[in-house]
Parts: sequence; C-alpha cells; structure tokens
Amino acid sequence: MTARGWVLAGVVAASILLVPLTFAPILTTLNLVLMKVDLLAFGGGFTTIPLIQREVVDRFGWVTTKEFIDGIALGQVTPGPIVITATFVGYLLGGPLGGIVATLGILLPSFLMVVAISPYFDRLRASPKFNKVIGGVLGSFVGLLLTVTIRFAANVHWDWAHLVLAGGAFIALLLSVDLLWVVLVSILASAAMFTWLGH
Amino acid sequence: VERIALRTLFASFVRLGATAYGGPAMMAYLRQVCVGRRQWLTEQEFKDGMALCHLIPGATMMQMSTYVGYRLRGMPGATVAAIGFTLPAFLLMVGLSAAYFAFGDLAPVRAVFAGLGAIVVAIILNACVSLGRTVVHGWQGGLIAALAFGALALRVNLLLVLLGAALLALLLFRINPSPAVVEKSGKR
Repeated sequence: MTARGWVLAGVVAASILLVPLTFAPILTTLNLVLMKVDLLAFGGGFTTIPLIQREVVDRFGWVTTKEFIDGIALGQVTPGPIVITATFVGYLLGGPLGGIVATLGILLPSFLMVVAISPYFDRLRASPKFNKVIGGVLGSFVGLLLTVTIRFAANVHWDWAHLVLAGGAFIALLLSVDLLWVVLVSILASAAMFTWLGH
Repeated sequence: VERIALRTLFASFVRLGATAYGGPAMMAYLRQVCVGRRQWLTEQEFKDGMALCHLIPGATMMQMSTYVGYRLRGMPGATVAAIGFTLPAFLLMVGLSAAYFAFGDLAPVRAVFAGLGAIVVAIILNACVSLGRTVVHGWQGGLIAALAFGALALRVNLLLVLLGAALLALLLFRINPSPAVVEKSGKR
C-alpha cells in the first residue's frame, strides 16, 4: 500500500471512530473493544465468540448471557462470517447505527491486516518463533472455548428435551453434518417441543 | 492483462457472501471461482492467500475476499470485495435483530431460542473439540490449553493468559508446529 493509501485508510478509520462519538459515546467504546477483539482473534471464526463475550457480557454488561447466546444462534442462521454476531450486539446497543459501528469495528482491523501484512508474509511464515507463538495462542483458545461452553451450559434450563437437542446436535456436528442443517432442524424441533410439550 | 471491473468483483463477492455457509466448503467454492472459472489468480497465489488469512487474526473468509480483491485491483478492489462479502450477512443480521427486538418476548419465540441455546452449547463445544484436535499435539499443547482453562476460571486477565501461552509455546515447543496445523484450524 502506498503512503497515500495509508493516509486515506487512517482518515477512514479515524472518521469511523469519531462519527459514532458524536451520536453515542457508548458506540465508540464498543467500536474500540471490538477492534481489540478482532486483533486477538487468531484461528478465525469461533474463537471470536468467547473474546466478544468477555467484553460485552462480563466486562461492560451491555448484553446478558442469554441475549448473547441468542445473538450467536442468529449468527448461525445468517450466511457469511460468524463474527456477524457483533452486529447483533451493536444493534441491541444502538439500533441500525450501532449495528454498522459494531460490524466495522469487528472487521476493519482484519481487513487492514491482510493489506498490510501480505508483502511481509513470506518472511513471517518462515519464522519458527512466529509459528510457535501462534500454536501456543491457539492452544490457549481451546481452554477459552471450554470456559465459554461451561458458561453457556450453565445458562440453559436443562431438561430431557434440551439434553436430547444438545446431544443430538453435538453428535451431528462431530459427524460433520452441515451446521446450517443442524440449526434449522433444531429450530423446528424447538417449535414442535413448544407446541406439544408446552415448554 | 485485462482489468476486472469493480462492479464484477462486487457482484461476485455479494453472491459468495449470500451463500457462504461453513468455512471449508466456501473456501473451495472461492477457489473454484477465482482460480478455475475466471482465472483471476494462479493456484499458488490463492494458496499463499489462504495461508496468510488462516495465520493472521480475524474473520478468515472475509479476509480471503479482501486478499483476492487486493490482488486484482489494489485497495479499491479489496474494499469492494470485503464490503460485498459482508453485506448480505450484515443486512440479514440487522433485519433479524430488529425482529428479535420486536418479537423476542413472545412465548413461541422464546421457546425456540431456549432450544437454540442448547444448540449453541453443542456448537461451541464442537468448535472447542475440533480446534483442540487440530492444534493440540503432544503434552505441550495440552498443558497450555489446560493452564489457560485454569487461569481463565480464576479470572486472570485474558491478555496475560495469551502472553503466557505464547511464552510457554516458545519455551516448550521443540519442533515447529506445521503451518498446516494452523491452516486447518480456521473455521470461517
């Protein structure tokens, strides 16, 4: 990227930060927090979930665990990146503008990183130290995902129907059934359970 | 070399973004479009991009769209491709969020979301297992995962946990973890 390109990118990034500030300061905080999450989201996709959860649920208390889980569920029905769950959080905080701010926050750093790192990537890829560090960080994400699984599980009112649903879904996923099908079937099953069992 | 119109690029990535369910399948589809059908990139260029996007933090498929756009048309191409890929998911999510606000308290909707809550537990557990399978090899990786779990349960700051994991990895890993390990771990 040329020097002019970097200045342009900087101006765009700054305006993205400052515009919400004039409307709602909370959105600026959300934006910064999501940018930080994005910069840490090694492994892509699902590792972002616990990172967002720690900030918006645990640290700031903007959304409840239940709302966040609902947002993840919606993120599974939509195509595209899993991190779109951030859009849901943004919408809950600040309507459509919040949705836009959150989406930009969670995606802008990873966008700029591709452009910035690609010229140096060969050197980076060849570095044993770099590869070890990433291996270590990804290893710790396994622990992180387990922590968040337990947190989410504690939020479900377990009865036999929900146990069957979760167990069935887990086995289906282990057998590499497409995630979208798992979610769609679960929606139907939940609706049926509600109708017939009065849940 | 013929210049690809930004409009064409945008349309291609909107279509990809509207149909992109599940990472590995979408990566294969993107390769088929970029390398096979349209011959925008060579096989090697595509592979380099894949390695890059899996290795750096961030949403992998969105980054892959950025990479392809950047290769073809520089910064404008990257912007158009990234926006195109994200737009369908974004619009759908805003619509769903608005509906959640309006109808989220209705009993049938709550019942469905209660069921989905159980599914989300299964989905995240599965993500944990599959990440574990691809990145934890040998006792060193297992130790790092276990220590991270313990530290997070004790509410240690996440950045400290990641820093500790990186340091331990530098000390403990004797062989270079194969980049393929990292490449496979990317979900979407």
